[in-house]
Amino acid sequence: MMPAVECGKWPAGRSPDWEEALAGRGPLFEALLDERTHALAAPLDRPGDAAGGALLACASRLAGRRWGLQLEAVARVEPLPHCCRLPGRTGPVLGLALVAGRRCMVADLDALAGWAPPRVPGRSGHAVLLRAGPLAVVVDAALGVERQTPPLRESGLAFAPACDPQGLVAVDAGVLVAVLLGKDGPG
Amino acid sequence: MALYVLFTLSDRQLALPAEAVAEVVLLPRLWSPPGLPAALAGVMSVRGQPVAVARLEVLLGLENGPRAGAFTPVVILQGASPWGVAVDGAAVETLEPGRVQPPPPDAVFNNCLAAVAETPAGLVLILDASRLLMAREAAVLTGFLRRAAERLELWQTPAGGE
Repeated sequence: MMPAVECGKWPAGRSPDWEEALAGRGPLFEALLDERTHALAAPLDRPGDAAGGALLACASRLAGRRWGLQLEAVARVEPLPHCCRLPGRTGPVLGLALVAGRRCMVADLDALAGWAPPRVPGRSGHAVLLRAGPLAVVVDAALGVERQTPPLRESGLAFAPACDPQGLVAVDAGVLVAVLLGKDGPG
Repeated sequence: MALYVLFTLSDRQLALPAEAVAEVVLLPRLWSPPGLPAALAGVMSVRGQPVAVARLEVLLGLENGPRAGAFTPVVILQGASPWGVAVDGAAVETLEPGRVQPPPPDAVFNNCLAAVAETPAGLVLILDASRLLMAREAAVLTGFLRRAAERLELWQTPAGGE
């Protein structure tokens, strides 16, 4: 249901610039505001806004919520492998794992959205490896679907710009990778 | 199962029916002209259209406004004069109709509480978007947005003027 942790909470260990920005101050925050103000005032012209297209619908850990990843952004879906937690890391980045032979960060979208505390799913969980970076997201289940309708509205999340009328929250894989790995990816 | 936009404000869980919400965006830089009414936080431009951001905490008499941060959602309401409210966290959720109950009569000012929903996370207060503003407040807001639109128009670059 509603955020169990503070919305916008970020993993510990992030750079001081980000910590300051998340608290609503500093040059990075000002730059974010300027960029967002400019983008919001401009006409809507995102490729993901077109109706149709194949999506991977990923069941969130929370009832009635699903994440939608564009299929072309997904490299592989595998049963969740062993996830090695990183010392000192808390928040949505759960740790490192080998998915399809690639060493990647494993992140929890529900936690990143501030909707739930970070948690590695149980045995039935899956890792969705993204093409854009060494990053996999953990989900309870994944299913290929065809997007029937265009997105209805913005979701309020930086990495998931739109939500369609069926409640599928569309994830922008590029933004997600930039947000999670932009500063401190595994390299 | 009806869709709602659930959000938190002043540690309360509130909701609006999804059909009453145009979109949710992240709070940009707000334009706050002198003489801004206390119930308004400012005006933002959404695809060239001015959208007033009201202080819902003032309208509802809540203790706190949204926390300062880089990812503050603004819930924009449907309507001829679009306006929004900045909140602490927002999500689109389904609520089971059986768990949505009418509120006690005259429980809140202007009857802006449409229903109360029982969820595993606690009670959610479902607001009636059409009753968040009184008729006179809505008229003031419309006039304010008209003036804001005129001001924004002054900043448009003439076509072919480069």
